Amino acid sequence: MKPTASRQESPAPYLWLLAGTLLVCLFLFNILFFIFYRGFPALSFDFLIQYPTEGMTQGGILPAIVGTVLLTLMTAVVALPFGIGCAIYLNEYAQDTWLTRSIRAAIRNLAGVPSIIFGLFGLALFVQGLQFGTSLLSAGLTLGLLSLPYLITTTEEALKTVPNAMREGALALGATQFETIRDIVLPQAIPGIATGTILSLSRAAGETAPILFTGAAFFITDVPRNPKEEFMALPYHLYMLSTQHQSIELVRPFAYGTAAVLITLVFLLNLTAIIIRKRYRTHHQ
Amino acid sequence: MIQIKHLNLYFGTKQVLKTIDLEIAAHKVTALIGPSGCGKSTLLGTLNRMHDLTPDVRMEGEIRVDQIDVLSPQTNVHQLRKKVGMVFQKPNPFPKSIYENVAYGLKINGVAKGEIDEIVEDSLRKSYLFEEVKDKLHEPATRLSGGQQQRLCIARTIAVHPQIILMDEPCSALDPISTGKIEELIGELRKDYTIVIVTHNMQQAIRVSDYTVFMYLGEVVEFSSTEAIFQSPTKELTKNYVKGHFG
Amino acid sequence: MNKTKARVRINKLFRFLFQFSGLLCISILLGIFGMLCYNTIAFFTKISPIDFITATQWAPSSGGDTSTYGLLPLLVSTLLVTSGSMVLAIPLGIGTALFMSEYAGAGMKQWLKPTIEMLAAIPSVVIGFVGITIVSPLISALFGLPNGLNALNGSVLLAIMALPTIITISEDAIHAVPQSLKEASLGLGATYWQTLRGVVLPAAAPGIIAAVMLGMGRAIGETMTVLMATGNTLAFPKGFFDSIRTITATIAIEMGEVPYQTTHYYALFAIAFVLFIITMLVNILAEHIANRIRQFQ
Repeated sequence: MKPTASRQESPAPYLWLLAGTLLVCLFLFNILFFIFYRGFPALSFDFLIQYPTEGMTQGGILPAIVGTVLLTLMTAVVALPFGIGCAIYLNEYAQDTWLTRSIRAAIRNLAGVPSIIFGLFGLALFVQGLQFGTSLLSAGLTLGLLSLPYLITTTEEALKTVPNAMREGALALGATQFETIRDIVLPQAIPGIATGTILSLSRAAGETAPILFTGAAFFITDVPRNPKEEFMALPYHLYMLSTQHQSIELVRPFAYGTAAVLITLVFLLNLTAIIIRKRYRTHHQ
Repeated sequence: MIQIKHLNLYFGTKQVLKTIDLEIAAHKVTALIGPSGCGKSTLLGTLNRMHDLTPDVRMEGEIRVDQIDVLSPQTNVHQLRKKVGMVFQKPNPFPKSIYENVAYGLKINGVAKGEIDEIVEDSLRKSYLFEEVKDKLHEPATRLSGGQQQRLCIARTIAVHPQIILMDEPCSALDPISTGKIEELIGELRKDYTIVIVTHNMQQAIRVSDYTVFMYLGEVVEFSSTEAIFQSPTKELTKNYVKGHFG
Repeated sequence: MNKTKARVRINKLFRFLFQFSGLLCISILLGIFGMLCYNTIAFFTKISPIDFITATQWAPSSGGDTSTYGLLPLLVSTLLVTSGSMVLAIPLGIGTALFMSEYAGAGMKQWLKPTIEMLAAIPSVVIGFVGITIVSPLISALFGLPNGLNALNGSVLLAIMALPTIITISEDAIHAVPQSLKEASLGLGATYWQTLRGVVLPAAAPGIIAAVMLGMGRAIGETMTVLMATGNTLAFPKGFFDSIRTITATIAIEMGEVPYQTTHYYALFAIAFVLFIITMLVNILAEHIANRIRQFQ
């Protein structure tokens, strides 16, 4: 059935569904338009590279940008080895045993755990239990755990695209399974893994709830110099500016600016992922 | 060269190979023929333990390759596979350069860097590919034609100096001209290697092999010189199959 | 000879490392569960579970004897705002999925898919900010309220957050309905719309239900949007125009201020435990339904 034919036959449902779909799109465009329209006056080069001054009614958001970047890197350092390791185990080694079924069930359930509960876990385990304090380290570990399920799922999908014939070819030459994975499977799966990694990091970069009690700070005069220090982060900064500041109306332009920078950062990461995915596909066909 | 004694193989509860007894001679080409599902590819895969990858496989009996106890868990499977190379049904070159494809097996086996170039060239020559690719050794192997890719896979296999080469319907994905080249190559390789080839194509078995094993429903029905199998089969089943009555 | 031995050893080592990463996932989930259980039990040694479930007030005044820790107002708030969001998101989400799968041409789909992906990528704190700056003034103007920070606002925002999940998974389910079913219905003389309503939607129903459940799980556990846009009043909500305070918002607000290992501290883990169980049940149910369709196909 061609779309055009179905439209002519029953125009009313078509129009209703079209209106609903356009409404959903409108949400997105409205959000983007407002944030960038109102945030534009605040955006300037200085806004990006200056420290906040005068109780944050002047200056810029440099420490929040740097904090978010450092936090995201920390998240990557925590999540990547375990995420890729787990995906390799599930796709390359594991057979259908109760153990692998439990691992898969655990991953699916972890994906549904609310982010604030990850925050509590980070507080109890890293901040208090392991005495890392409220710090970049604790927050990075917390976000790392939060990113694992998505990272594992996307990495496993990337590994699945590598044909079995490649593995057989290497094994038949006498390569060990690890050598096969290292030399043949991973190099082919890397674009897919990179896409998944960037997407999961872009999610982590926008998270607020898990860092509320694990290390984000409202106002620090410097960027963190070591992982045991607290840090400022864009999402937390936006939350504080829009609800907790003494003179909320005065800092509203800064809140818009911060939101615009955060969205831009997240979209840039997503765009990178999409470009890698596209390029990889055309390259291989 | 290869001795198989009372080999039984099960996938789960299904018995796929039934008491196989075979002696495969060195420096000869032995063809495994039989209708689809008769177990010929499965039998081939036992010789370099490719079934380690398949879940739920159980084997009984004994296989010896040059005094190595193939099925013993103590046997180093990587050494075994170095000795018993394999060429697959569909060409499966790695997504690397032509050179890297042939060099890969040498690198993992720790061959000194200085020797690799020479072995790569030698292997490509032996598989009649060198003249066609000598100017593009560092281009991706995936740009080669199907027949060239299969010859590259053969070069990749002989680079690690195996004694035996297993071929699982190596021409089934190729056109007649490429098939002809591979068959010619097999004729050349028999001088240095013991070859076991699974084929669906009886004409091919006649053209390339010295001995032929006819299998049916997981059993060896008849094993003899290729000439005998096709000219004067002793079993009714073999006669019907080689005359094209079924399969 | 020795070289192969080393290779085999490395091979075993890495197999172990990869397996360890897998086991880590199980231990994280068990760790979260254990951590919540441990602290909840600590809470129940001080406050009886019956009081926790039946008390109608959440009024922790740290240290004093007058504190009550009633789950109900928080739970009702969470359920109210979530059900409101589902009322908005379910028809809109399924409608959009149906449109994308059955009506949109290839060119249009090429634009719609990234749009939905972008909507999913917007951080929740930004959605919450939008709740304060756009939705709230809109609600107060439309309904003549002094401010628009209430349950309705939260429901609208949660609907926006749940939409991408509902749309993507429903679309997959609708798309998976075999063409032959549609042809059979059209062949009997049904119109395209009758076919969609009578054949395609019922056939895709399990997948759509799973999609809705997953969207709902996301809405229940969402923190920042409800924290920023619902006013956070600690009272029993009577309707959508009341300001509310959900379980997630309560944890977010109070955890930063409570002293370590007090009754109040444990109380927050206890409500988190309730939240964990609810989202877990919703997800398991969704998965169960999704598995059942797989068996039919």
